[in-house]
Formats: sequence, C-alpha cells, structure tokens
Amino acid sequence: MSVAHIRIHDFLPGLAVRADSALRGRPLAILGPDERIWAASPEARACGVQAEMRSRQARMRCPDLVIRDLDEALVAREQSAFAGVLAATGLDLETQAPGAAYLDLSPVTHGLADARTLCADLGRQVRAELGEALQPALGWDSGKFTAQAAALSAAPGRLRLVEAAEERRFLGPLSIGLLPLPPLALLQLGWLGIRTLGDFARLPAAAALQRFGPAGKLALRLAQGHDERPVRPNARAQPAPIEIELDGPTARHDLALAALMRALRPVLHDLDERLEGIRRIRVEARLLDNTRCEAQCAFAQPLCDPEHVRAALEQQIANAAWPGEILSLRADLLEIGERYPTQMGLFEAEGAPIPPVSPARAFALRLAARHGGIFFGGEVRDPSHPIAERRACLVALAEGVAA
Amino acid sequence: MADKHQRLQHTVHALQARYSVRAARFGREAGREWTPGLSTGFRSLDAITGFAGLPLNAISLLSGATTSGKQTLAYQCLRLAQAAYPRRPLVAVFDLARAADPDYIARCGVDLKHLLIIRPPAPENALAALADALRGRQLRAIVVDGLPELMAGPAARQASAALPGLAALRGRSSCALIFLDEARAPWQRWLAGPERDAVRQSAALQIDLRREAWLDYDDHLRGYRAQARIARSRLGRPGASAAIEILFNGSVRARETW
Repeated sequence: MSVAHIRIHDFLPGLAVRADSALRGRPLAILGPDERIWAASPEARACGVQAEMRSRQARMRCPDLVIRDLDEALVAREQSAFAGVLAATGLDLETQAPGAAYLDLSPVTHGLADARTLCADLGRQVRAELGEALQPALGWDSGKFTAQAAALSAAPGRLRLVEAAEERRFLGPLSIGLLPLPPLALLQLGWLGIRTLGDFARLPAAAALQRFGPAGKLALRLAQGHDERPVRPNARAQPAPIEIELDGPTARHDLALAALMRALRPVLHDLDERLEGIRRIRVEARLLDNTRCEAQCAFAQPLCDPEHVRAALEQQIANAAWPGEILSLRADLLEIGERYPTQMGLFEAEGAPIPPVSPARAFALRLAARHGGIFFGGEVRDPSHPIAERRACLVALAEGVAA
Repeated sequence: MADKHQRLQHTVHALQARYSVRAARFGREAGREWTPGLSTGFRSLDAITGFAGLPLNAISLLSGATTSGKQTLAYQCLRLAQAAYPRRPLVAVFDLARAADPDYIARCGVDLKHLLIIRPPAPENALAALADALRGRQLRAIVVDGLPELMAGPAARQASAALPGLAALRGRSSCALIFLDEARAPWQRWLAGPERDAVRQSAALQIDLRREAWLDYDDHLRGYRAQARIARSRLGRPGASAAIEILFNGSVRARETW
C-alpha cells in the first residue's frame, strides 16, 4: 500500500487568521457548536488551551485568549476546496478531519521516487488553492498511521517520506500521544513508564489485548508500523439508522435518552474497537401529535465514549426544548471517522526530550495506579520568605490519578 | 588495606540495600543476635537503644506530647537514612495527622527530592498503601505520623490484624518503620482497648520523649531540652534515658547534650 497524508496544521485557527489578520500572533481558540473549544492556535496551546475545553476553562488558562465562533459555512467551503484538489487526482480519498485527509496512491506510485514527485505536486496544488497561509504538510508511507505521524512531524510546506524499512526507527522515539487510544489508556501506559511508540511496540500482543482490548491490539500493530487499514472514501455507506419505539408516550426526555443510549452503546463499542468515533449525529423524535423534532450534535473529535455522547445529546435536546410527549426516536450517525491522536497534553510534544522522572515521582506513579493521588512531595520555593507556607509547599506527585 | 576494607563495606551495603540487611553481614557480627540500626543522630541515645539507633526491619515507636521532640527526632532519622547511602534512597512520611510541613522537614535536613509524603483519605487506606510501599523495597525509612488516627474507630482492628503481615514485609525490605504516638496516661491506654496497644506490643523499640526545659538566650527562645527514655527495647536496657537538645537557630538543629 502507498498512502499519503495531507494535513494543514492549525486549519481552523488559520482560516480565522486569514479572515482577520489582526489575530496573527495572538492566542486564538475556535469555539464549536457544542460550546467547546474545537481548535487552538499554537500561541494558545502554549498557554495550556486544549481542544474539548469549555471557553471558561480556556480563559482561566489564558486570560488574553481571543475566542471566535466556528464559521461552519466558511469551513465547509474551504474543506470542500481542499478535498476537491485531492479528489481531482481520481484516487481514493478519505478526509480525516478539517484540513486533513488520506489519499491512496497505490495505483500510481511504485516507490519512493514516484511518491516524492506526486506528493510535492499535490502540496503545490493545495497551496495554490488555499493560499500561502494554509499550506499543507505531507507524510507518506505504506500505512495510514505512519503517514499521519510523518505529516505531523513535518513543517508546513514540507514533505516527510518514510520507507517501509525505516518505519520502526521513525516511529520508535515518537510520543504514544499519537496513538488514537482514550486518554485513560494513555495515562495507564504512562504509569507503566511507556512514553514512546518504541516502548509500546515492544509489549507482547497478548498483554496489549488483555489490558486494552481489541483497540489496544490494533494500536500495538500501528506502533509496530503494521497498518493494514485501507483508505476508505468518505462516501461509504452509513450504518443503518437506530430506531427505538418507546413503551408508551413520555414527556421525560431523560428516559427517552436512556433508551436511545442502550441501543447506541453496542455501536459505539464496535467503533471503539476499530479506533473510530462519531463526528456528527442526528436524533429525531416523533411526538404524540405526530410532529417531528430533531437535535444534531457535531463533535470536535470523533467520539466513542458513551457518556460524552450522552452528555452532548442531553444538552442539545434540552436546548431544542421538544414540545409534547415522545413516541419514538431515530438516531442517524451522519459522519464516522477515525479518532485523532489525543490532544489532552498528557505528554511532551513530539521530538521534545522527555524530562527524567525523579525516583520519588516514579515510585509514586507506580503506587498511584492502585491508591490514587495520595502521594505528595515537598518543594522549596523561596527559602528566605518570612511565611512558612511560601518557603516550601507540598506538590502532588501523581496529579490527576484517580484511585 | 583500608581501600579493601572500604570496598568490602560498599559491597555489603549495596547487597543490603538491594536484597535485605540480612542478606550480607560482616563476620564479626555473625555470632550474635544482630539487628542493624539507623542512627538517630544522638550518640548518647544510640548507645542506650541497643540497636545503635532505631532498628531496621522492625517497628519503633516514638511517643510524647506535642513539642516533646518526637517528630524532629523522626525527621532527623529520615535525614540520616538518606545520608547513609551514596545514592540517596527514598524515605516516606505517612501523614495521617495532616501535620507534615515541608518547610520544617527541609529545615531538618531531609532532601525533599527523595521524600514521599503520603496522605491517605482514611486510616483504613493507609495500611494497604503502607504494605505496598514496603513491598516496593525502595524506602529506607517510613515515619507513620498519627498512630492515634490509625487506631481510632474501625481501622484499629484491621491495623492490629495487619501487623504480622507487615512484619513479614519489613523483614525483606531493610526499612525502619517509625510510628509516632501521643503520650497517654495508663488509664487512657486501658480504655482504648487491646487493639490500640498492638503496635506497642510489636514494637522492637519504644522511646518516650518528654520536654524538660525551654532553652533561652538573652530572652530569645532558642530550643528545648528533652529526655528520651527507653520504655521498651528487645536488645537494650529499658528504663535508660538520655537528654537531647533541639535548637531553633534559624534552622532546626538537633544537638545532644554532653
């Protein structure tokens, strides 16, 4: 297989900056329709702003943050222009996220030299279409995961090609944050001292399967450079809609939602095992007077966590304020996609040296997996300060670890 | 010759640190009942405990009222446990009383980078965490600050039942386990029930501390003198006592009287 990953770094903030050049260089976040941050500029990320945060949380991290609402029409237009350039090649195209897509080059490339020429040409075309400010980075490899990792490690306007023989050496030092595993699984790996894809790739397959299920086994193969997932055109058939007839008409939305989630849970579980998630979902309710109401949710990242999906639907349904009693529900999974690498900031940026963990912290992290965040260390702040609490204080050694 | 002896000492210490203090010992110590000790920093006190300090692989109990010096003495032992090995080992404080002050610990000379302060949400959780900490074999000294909290309520029975298990773990970990207790009258101990005395019964060494006098100089309080009395010792002489001085001159400096 021969796969190219084309990625415009910071696509959504880039569009906002292109529309208003006064925003250049300022910390900027894009607020999605679900009232969460969908994307943040590098300046905002440097202050600790991350995707999925509420605007209030983000402002606490970065008081100077400029928040702009997502201009869905503009994004759709630019995204279709981006996809149009790539689709014009006539090859299979799978859009992964706004400003990121896979292209299956297998029918037209037979080696590194072919791929280099074609990828460079694609990059030039995207740049010509979207402008200098939104020029893409390209990665190429025999699998989707390594191609994506290569594109992420390339600067805008650059190309990173990875040959099959180099895959393991290329992936080895990269952060496990690149794996599309849930944050808790990545945290658990962190507690075990596994911080790089190389460390993860050395684990036995049986151990990965036992600990993290089929998703873990698949992630292990990705880390080893074995990615057999094909490039699937986005126009593929959507799963059948989920229809639920309630026992009787009910005005209680929570009961209706609970019934919907019972039906949705196995679908989300299947998606989780394939490291995929829902990007957009629409729920339609038939009311007692035979009218129909709907609520639609779009997510910053493809989701497969039932609690997260449920919370989003609950909020949308509450906002929509459906009048009357509900007779039946129907859920359409409008868009499904593979999960992105985590953006939870659990680990250092790729390429940055991992700071050594102090013996006390390492010991605390080991025990924290069982006992939670009960481990503290002391830190001398200002030895000459007259107030004792300012001279030294306690610091959590296993912060964020739940028992 | 001196170099050879030094290398032998290093090797023995390394073996003891890795496996157990019982894994290797010098020939001169082989014939007698031998329990390695952790110095308290007070030579006069070390001389009367019978262990040349506080015993490793055993429980020590320091009891005394507030400002009797038990906490300072315990932190002093943590400092010396860290200083005893070239690669500073970890030490820990189980802060059940929520009284650990990092500034004070640092002033006692403990290296904070090699110190864990553990604050379990409830006394029942402390025992499991303590067993795991011992099992890790990385800690050379553990201070459990708050025996009254550990032995209060439903945790008391659980704690007394867990003590034999802890003893087995201690035997393999070469770690000094130091409990801090409040001074209580005999009738209070009797009312508290048998569980509460379980730690006291299983302790290899019990030192009762009592503040004797404040030390002042030009109307400035500069420390206090305390009497450390051996209430119980498997190897030492119960009833013996030594005077220690704890000075506050800018930093806490424990000094013994001569």
